[in-house]
Parts: sequence; C-alpha cells; structure tokens
Amino acid sequence: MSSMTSAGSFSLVGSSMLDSRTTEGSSSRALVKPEEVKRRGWDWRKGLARDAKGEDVLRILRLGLAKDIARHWIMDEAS
Amino acid sequence: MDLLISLSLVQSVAYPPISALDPNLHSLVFTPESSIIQLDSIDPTAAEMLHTHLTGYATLREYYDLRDEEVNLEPGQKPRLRPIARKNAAATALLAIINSAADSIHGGLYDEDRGSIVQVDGLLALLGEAMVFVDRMSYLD
Repeated sequence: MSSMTSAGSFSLVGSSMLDSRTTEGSSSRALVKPEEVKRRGWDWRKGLARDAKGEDVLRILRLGLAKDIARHWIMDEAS
Repeated sequence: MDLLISLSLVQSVAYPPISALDPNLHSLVFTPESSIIQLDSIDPTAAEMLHTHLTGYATLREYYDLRDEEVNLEPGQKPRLRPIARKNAAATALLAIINSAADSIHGGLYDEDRGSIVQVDGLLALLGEAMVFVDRMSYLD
C-alpha cells in the first residue's frame, strides 16, 4: 500500500501506529499475517503463503472472477 | 475515521469491538441521524463530510459483523439471516466499500480530489477480503 493520500487524509501505512511494538498485542507488520486471538467468520489471510504479495491477491481475484463469469455464461447458454 | 477504518482493515475485524465502543461513537455509528442533524444546523459542510465518512466506517463494520455474526453469538441466540443471505449481504456491503475506495483511481489514474468514503490505501485489504467470494462452486462453503 502506498501513501498516496498525502493531501490531508490519514494513511496508516506510513504512520508509527502500525508499529507492532506499540500496539496492544495485535498482529505484526506483515499485513498478511493472521491474528491468532480473534475469532472470525472466515479469514481471507488463511490459505495465503506467508510471503504472499499484493500481486498474488490480485491474481487470485482475477482468476476467480474470470472463472465465475465464464461459469455464468455457460449456465446462461444452457438455460 | 480514517484511522478506525485502517485499523479495522489491518486486523480484519470491526474495530473497536461493539463492547468497547464508547457511547458517542456507538450513537454515531448506529444512529447517526441526530448527530448529523445537529451538526448540520451549525456547519452543513462538516455535516456532509461526517455523514460520508461515517457511512464508510459503518458499512465496513457491517461487513465484518455480518461475517462474524455466527461466531459471536451467545448460546441460544440465532443469527438474523441464514448463511447464504448473510454472505450475500456481506458481499454487497464489501462491494460498496470497494467501489468507493476505488473511486479515486477510477480509470487508472489517481485523482486525489475525488473524495471517497474509504481511502484507496485500503483497497488491497478490501480486495483481499473479497477473495473469499470468488471462484466458489457453491456459496455454502
């Protein structure tokens, strides 16, 4: 995530608040690391490698969306 | 508000949790009308800004709360919506936030004057959240 929003709005990425040593026990700097303590309905970070990058997220999304759209086309054809 | 949105996104949870919401923030999130109407009589521009930012934050909380509704239930309580309807509602909320966050890079170029409810920095985290909704053979898993 870049800090493009320099024009008057707050960007967490460049700030010191994201420092893991000062926050109360929440997860580390790596934005794809899952949080052990919280219970979530589902966690998008599960199923990603530890060193997964933004490009990987986008690749998964693009592929998934392409498949979903293709599936709907096929189903529309069939009906 | 940007800070609360960012913290919620980084932790992938509605932050702060409902139990930790102070009364002012609680009423701002869940019953914003009175505060905004009050502010509107003093400063309409500020009221409008507050309204749009609140909407984004409230929608993001709604997304996480819908996702976590089942795990956060007390024993004996039932969720308001059935699983599929809940997933659909969560997807709808998430999509609204994604569209808003992406508004400032509409067309591929960054335009910082297009004010949006959620800053574009959070877009990647939002897209990560969206991954669970794509490429599913059925919506039951």
